[in-house]
Amino acid sequence: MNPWNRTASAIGRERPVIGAEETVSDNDDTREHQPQGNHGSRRLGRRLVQCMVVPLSGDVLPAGVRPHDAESLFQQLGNDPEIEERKRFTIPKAPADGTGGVPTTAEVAVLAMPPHRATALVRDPAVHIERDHHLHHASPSPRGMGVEGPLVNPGVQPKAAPVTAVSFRVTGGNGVPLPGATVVVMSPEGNFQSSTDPDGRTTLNLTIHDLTAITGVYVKPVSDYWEAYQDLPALSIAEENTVRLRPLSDTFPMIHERQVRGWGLAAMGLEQIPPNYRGRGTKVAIIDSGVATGHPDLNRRITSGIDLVHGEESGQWSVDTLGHGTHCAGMVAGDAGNALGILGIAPEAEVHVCKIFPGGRYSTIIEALKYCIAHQIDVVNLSMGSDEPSALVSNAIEQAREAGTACVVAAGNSTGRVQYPGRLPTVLTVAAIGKLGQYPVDSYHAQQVWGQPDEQGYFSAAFTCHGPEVDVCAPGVAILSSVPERGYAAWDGTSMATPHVAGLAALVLAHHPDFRDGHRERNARRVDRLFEIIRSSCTPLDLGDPGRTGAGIPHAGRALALEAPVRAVLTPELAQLREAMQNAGLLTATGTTVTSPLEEVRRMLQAAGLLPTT
Amino acid sequence: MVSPGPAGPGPGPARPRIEHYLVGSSETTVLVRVAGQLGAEPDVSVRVVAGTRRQPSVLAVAMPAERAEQLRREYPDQLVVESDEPLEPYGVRDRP
Repeated sequence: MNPWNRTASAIGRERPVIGAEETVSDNDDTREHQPQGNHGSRRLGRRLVQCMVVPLSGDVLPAGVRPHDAESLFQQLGNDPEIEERKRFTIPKAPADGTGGVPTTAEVAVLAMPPHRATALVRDPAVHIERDHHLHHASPSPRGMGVEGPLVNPGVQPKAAPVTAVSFRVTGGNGVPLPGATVVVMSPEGNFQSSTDPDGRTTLNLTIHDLTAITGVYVKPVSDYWEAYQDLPALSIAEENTVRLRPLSDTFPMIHERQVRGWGLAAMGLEQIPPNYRGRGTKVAIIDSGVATGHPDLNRRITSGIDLVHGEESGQWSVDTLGHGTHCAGMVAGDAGNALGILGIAPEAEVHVCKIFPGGRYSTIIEALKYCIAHQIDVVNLSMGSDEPSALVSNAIEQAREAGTACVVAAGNSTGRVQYPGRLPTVLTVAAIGKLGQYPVDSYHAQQVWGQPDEQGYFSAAFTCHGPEVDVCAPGVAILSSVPERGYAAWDGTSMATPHVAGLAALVLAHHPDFRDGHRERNARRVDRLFEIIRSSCTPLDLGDPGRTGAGIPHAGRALALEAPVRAVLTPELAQLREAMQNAGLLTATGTTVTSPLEEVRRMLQAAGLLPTT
Repeated sequence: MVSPGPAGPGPGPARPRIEHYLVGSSETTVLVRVAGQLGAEPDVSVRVVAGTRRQPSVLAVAMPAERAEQLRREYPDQLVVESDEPLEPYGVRDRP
């Protein structure tokens, strides 16, 4: 392998450009890809990337590869109308044989070029190319609007950065202004955020020295449009930067007039179950930010709740200022028999709303669970958590389990270990997956691909928390659901994966034969049996790390006993482990129905007493 | 980890920083006594979040960190005193 080129692949991660035409910029990155806009306004596009290019000498090249002459290579590149030479310099280069002989020098050119040209140069084995990255201070970066973070000694504080005003206009596909859209400008020094006014306009005052340090612009509409993301944006100071969002109706035609189904329902086999399987007779609680019950897809369906933010008597549980609870509720129970908008998984389940956001704490989870036990809730959707464990929350969840209330919990979005209470063995913990082709390629959803997608296009979501506590995975990227007051939005998160499983849990309790007979009584055994059915229904996914997918993606047909359970192949490693545990007397030689390798490991460890049985 | 409490008033004697705690016990009598004790203190507010006022099992208490530490020392085997952590919804909202 050519050691010079080990970092070059980073340049190859091209992102699609919003717009395609090329024009001349007034900012210090000189040229960019962007379409023309109206006078005083232009469409946001991607700027040129600045790279360092070095022709490699013959002594480090593989046999048969001819070295470039530095001068002629740089001249050739400099004559290219797409490429601009910024600088040249030389660097010392040690002899390739490691003898410590007289060092020579290598020629380096700093070139600005479109990403596709950088990608092409990466493929040239006789050239080393790498991004000329911006440097930033090693001290902790301020977060949010750049006003947080530790105070520094004013005696050593650097001169204040100049404020650069950058204006944006966010419009829909037909140029209609989109008010309330969130615009986030990202830089290594911190993010800057604002919302658009009624004309779809906003101006951000950026306290950074160099606009070319900006790594991305993210725009999130209130509803009914896809979000957009542009990495390495070519921002104009002189003109308004226009971001045009794609309507959701491009992907889901006539969403306000007819019923549409998100990709998650198909992924879990929910489109194949009988139409009368609608969760009637079960109770699901959404512990979240409230639910906008006036939404056309939720109207008439949700009549019970509690507001733990403003007080039990406030009645404001049907007001959702964040939209998060409404999105979750739509996935569980969307559809008011109106044949339009989104279809939830268990539309006839009785939904209860426990409002704890904004401002939710562990104490509000405990209060909400008290409500759930008192109201004999069957399934609780907990699309939230924290990093710190709590013995008292753990105790409250155990009490709920003993009362027959099953908690389905999101793993978390912080990319690291599973968050709390998702780490508890007494809950069913859900990680998030996505699927290629279910979102525009220029949306931020496209940034969430972790690892190598499988042959069906499923991938683990980059943000999902992971670890041995993950029980199952479910759709959690570009998930379409309801948002206040009458709109729809496609969001990402383990929050969005969890209601898929909570909705399925309601269907299982309502329609699986086990809960008509042996497990009718509300107790811990009923909850454990429910979780076991869901885990064992899963289709295993190989997305590079079992801790990101657990037993796999639940399958409605199998979970509802409409189809026979899947029998996965016991891998040779697993067979060896089972044999070794049997030989060591840790496991008796009983046959099991293998549903997934991870599930089998869990069963074996539980049978050996090495893992608690919930 | 604990969350910051409200900012103090302007000039004048500094007031202790108030933080949020969960206080639980399996011994109702102890918790009733603690709730009564804390409820009478000026820098402390108490809310019953599990059980009832007569038979509480978990309290949400806003109090100075020093008072929480004092409670832990006072009832080492009878009380659980832990941070009432703020929760985060796991929908990616205004990212990144």
